[in-house]
Formats: sequence, structure tokens, C-alpha cells
Amino acid sequence: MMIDAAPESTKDYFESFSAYLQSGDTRYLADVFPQAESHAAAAVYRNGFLRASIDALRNSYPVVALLVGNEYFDFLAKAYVEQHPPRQATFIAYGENVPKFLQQNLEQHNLSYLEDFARLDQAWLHAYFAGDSTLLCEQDIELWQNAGHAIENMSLCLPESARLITLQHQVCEAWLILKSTESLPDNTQIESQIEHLLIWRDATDQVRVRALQTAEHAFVIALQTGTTIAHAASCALEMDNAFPILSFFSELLDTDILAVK
Amino acid sequence: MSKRNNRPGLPLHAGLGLKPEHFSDAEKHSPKNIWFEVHPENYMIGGGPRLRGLLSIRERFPLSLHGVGASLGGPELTDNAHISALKRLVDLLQPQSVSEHAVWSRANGVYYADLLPLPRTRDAMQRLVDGVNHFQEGIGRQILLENPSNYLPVISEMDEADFLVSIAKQTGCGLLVDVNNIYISSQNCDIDATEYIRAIPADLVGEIHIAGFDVDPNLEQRLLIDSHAADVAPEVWRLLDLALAQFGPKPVLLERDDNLPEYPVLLEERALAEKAIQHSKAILQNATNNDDRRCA
Repeated sequence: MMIDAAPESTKDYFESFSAYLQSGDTRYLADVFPQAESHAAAAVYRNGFLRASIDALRNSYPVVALLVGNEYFDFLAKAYVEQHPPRQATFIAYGENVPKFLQQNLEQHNLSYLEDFARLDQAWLHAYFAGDSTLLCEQDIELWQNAGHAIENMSLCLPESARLITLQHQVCEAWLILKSTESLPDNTQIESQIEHLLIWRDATDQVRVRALQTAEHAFVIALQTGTTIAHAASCALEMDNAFPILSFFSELLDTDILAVK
Repeated sequence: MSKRNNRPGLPLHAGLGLKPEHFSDAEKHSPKNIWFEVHPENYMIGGGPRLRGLLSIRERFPLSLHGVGASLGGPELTDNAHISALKRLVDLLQPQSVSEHAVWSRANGVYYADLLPLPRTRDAMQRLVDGVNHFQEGIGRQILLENPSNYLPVISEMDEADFLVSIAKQTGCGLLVDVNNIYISSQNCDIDATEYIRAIPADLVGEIHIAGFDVDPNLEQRLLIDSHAADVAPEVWRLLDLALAQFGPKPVLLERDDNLPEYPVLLEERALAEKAIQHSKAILQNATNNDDRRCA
């Protein structure tokens, strides 16, 4: 079946088709499918675009979707797609502005804590897909010491998978429950209180989350910049002069949070 | 890159579209002659269990990277970031085949996440030729180019088969013939599926796809949707037999992207495709034997 070209150029075809996909306005389709008896079938393209984009957001923000329910999530996600359409063909990083979008759009509905759930979902995804790092092990420390160096002068960093986030609400416990059981107890309360969290992927590929006290947070922030243990310890001791450096360092080592710089 | 290269392609067996959910089953419970196909866009990541899982699969089985996001016929050439990410995967996985679609999906920096049809005009053909050349040069490989599903008749100065054959000849790419897409287009746009297949020279074909479709919930049988969410329809199996008779034995892939059944169920359906390939091989062998006898 041959159909004569109606638009003046292929460029017009792409522009009209794009305008339809973004707006859903079927008037643009006259330039795209000029001989079609009905343009109803063209909805499959716009629906496909929206569905794929919304599904990608649901995959990236599964706990937010559980929290608000599928219908409301679809409503929010569609609004997000219209404001921030995908730019890359890989959907894994799509939706990076979702936390801010939720904060801007839902604050007046007393749902500002959703931003924090979204930031946890985002950090989990980052940890899961991040590149592998060379993790510090006890043998590395022995080798360092056997070479005549003091352990406190060892420079370390966090693995590529690690993300440090500071939330405005204490949502971590609820997020973990939702992530594992897909439901929350009815009496769950979300307190408005700062929460520092570290999210990373351990050596068994499990993504882990740990809440950090102020001094622990200072220690890990210093490590994030790739510093010596001595400097990280001094940062922690400024916050809490009784900070148990040795036990915290051992815990970081045992749980694969330390990487070789 | 105007000449077809001689890189060994996919084995003459049936393959399966593979999802991370089935990695473990695929490693433990797959027939020896199987091969797998994945969408590279799902593996453009830093690392972690998903990429490691695919590497482990690749160590044991032939692999095809079947892209869905290059927008080869679009108003902009595939962006360099996408090509670089794919090239890294190609270097890492050394797949037997890399394929893409004869469609567009990106304009003015927006990715529309669907396989959108191109007009079949000379101007659109030139864009697609440029797009395929740019892409092949970027990844350093010949690709296979897949025919799209059509939901509405597009502006056209030529048939789709002629359009694709011409592009293959101009760029040196091969063709991936999706018989499910041909069936869908034949029903939605009133084209002759048999004529379409007969218009494609066998030597251009590097792979055949089969998949399931759904009917549109609103338009029902008036619109078939390329969903990859159902079993392969009897009409599509018949078209596969016709394609194998026309092209001779070729690697055939069973695609399944949604409504995913258990792995053994997919293997059963894939076994039907393997049977069709073996039948095609037997016919070719008989023909060769007969020719030999005549010569003797």
C-alpha cells in the first residue's frame, strides 16, 4: 500500500509525531498518518510511551508506589513524565528528580515525608547497580602494618555503591518494613526528625541500610572524601569525645563499607 | 562500513529472550544448544549482581544484544553516550550478534520509549542509512536491523521489505526478520505477509524473531499489539515455517518481555522453534543430497 507523503518533510513528520506523543492532541496526527480512517490506533504509541515511562518510575521507586497505592502513583508518575520526560534510552537512571518533584508537589498535602522514602528508594537503586569496588579486608591492614606503617595513616574511602543521605523524617524503619513485607502496620508514625543513613551493597550483593549517629556520620563523611583513618577519627571525636572508634571501625570493616583508595 | 563482515553469528538453533528473573534457572536448566538475547539498555550499569549474572550466562552460552533505544531512523543520530555505553557492553560480553530496530524513538532530546514507525520515503531512508552507518561505526560491529510492527499505514513510497533490503545493501547491515511483527502489520495495515517474506533475500537474514501479541482492549481484532506478553499464535508459527522454507535454517528467537511464565514453560515453547529449525535443516540436507546424487 503506497501513501503519498503529506508533510513537507520528514522533519515535519517527527515534529508532529512528537507533539502528539507529548500532548495526546490527535490534530497533530494528520501530518503523521494522513490516510488513516481513524486515529484511534495511534493511541497505542502515546500509551506505550507513557506506560513504559511510568513503569520505569515504579521500578525505581517501588516503596513510594507501595505507600501511595498504584492509582495515585500512576497519577504522580504521569505528571512527572510530562514535566521531566525521559532523556536516555536506558531507564535505569530515569527519575532522578522524583524526590524533589514529590517535595514540591506534595508538601501542601502533608506528605512531605514521601520525598524521604523516594530518596531511600533512589539510594537503594544506586547501590544495587553501582560498579564493584575493591573492599578493604584484614589482610590489607596486616600488609600495611607489616610494611611499617601505622594503621591510622591508612587512606580509605567508601565503595562506589555507598550513598550517605540525610532525611528530614525518620522513615528508615517504615521503609525497611515496606521493602520486605510490602505493607505497614496501621499504627505506623512518621516523626519529623533528622536521620542520617548509609546505604551500600555488601560483598554478598545485599543492599544494606544503617542509621548513623552524629559522630558516626562525621567519621563516614570524612571517609567519603578519601582520607586517613586518623583524620576521620578526629572528625568523629569533635562531635563526641567518647566516640568508640575501634569498635565502629571494626563494624565498618566487617560489613564491607570500607574500600581501598 | 559497506561490506558484510564474516564474524561468526548466532548458532542455527532456537534462542530465548532472557530476563534477570530467569538467570539462575537459565544457568541450571537450559539445553546445551540454547542461546540468549537481552536488551543492552538494561545492562548499561556500573556493575553489581545483574551485570555479573549476565557475564556468567555469557561464559556458558552464545549471546545476542538486541537494542531498543538507538532511534536509528530518528531526526538525531544516536547520541555518543548511548553508543559508548553499548560499546563497553559489546567489548565486555563479546556477543555473537548485535541488533536494533528500523524505527525512531528520540527527538529534541526526548526519548519516547517506544518503537515508532518511520515514513518509507527516500528522505527517511537516507536518515536511516546514516543512522545505521553511524551506529555500526560507533560500536565497531555490523548489526542486524529488525522490521517494526505497524499499527497504522505510514506514509510510503515503497514497500517495507524493499525499504529494509535497500538499507541493508547500502549499509552492510543484516536483517532481523520478526515474523510476529510482519503478522501484526499484515492484520493492522492490510499487507500480504507472504509477499513480504518472499521479497527478502535469504543471504541478508541473520536472525528471525517470534513472539506473542495481544488484541487492543478498545479496538479488539482491528488492532493487534506487539506485546511480547503471550504465547506465540498459530498464525505466527505458520509464518515462521514459511520464513524458514524461504530463507533456509536461521537462528530463531522466542521473545517474551511481559506476563513472564516460569522458565520451563518458556523452554517448552522454545523447543517448538528448535523443531522448526531442525526440520528446515533436514529439508536443506535432503536437497543437498539429491543434488549430489544428480551430479554423481
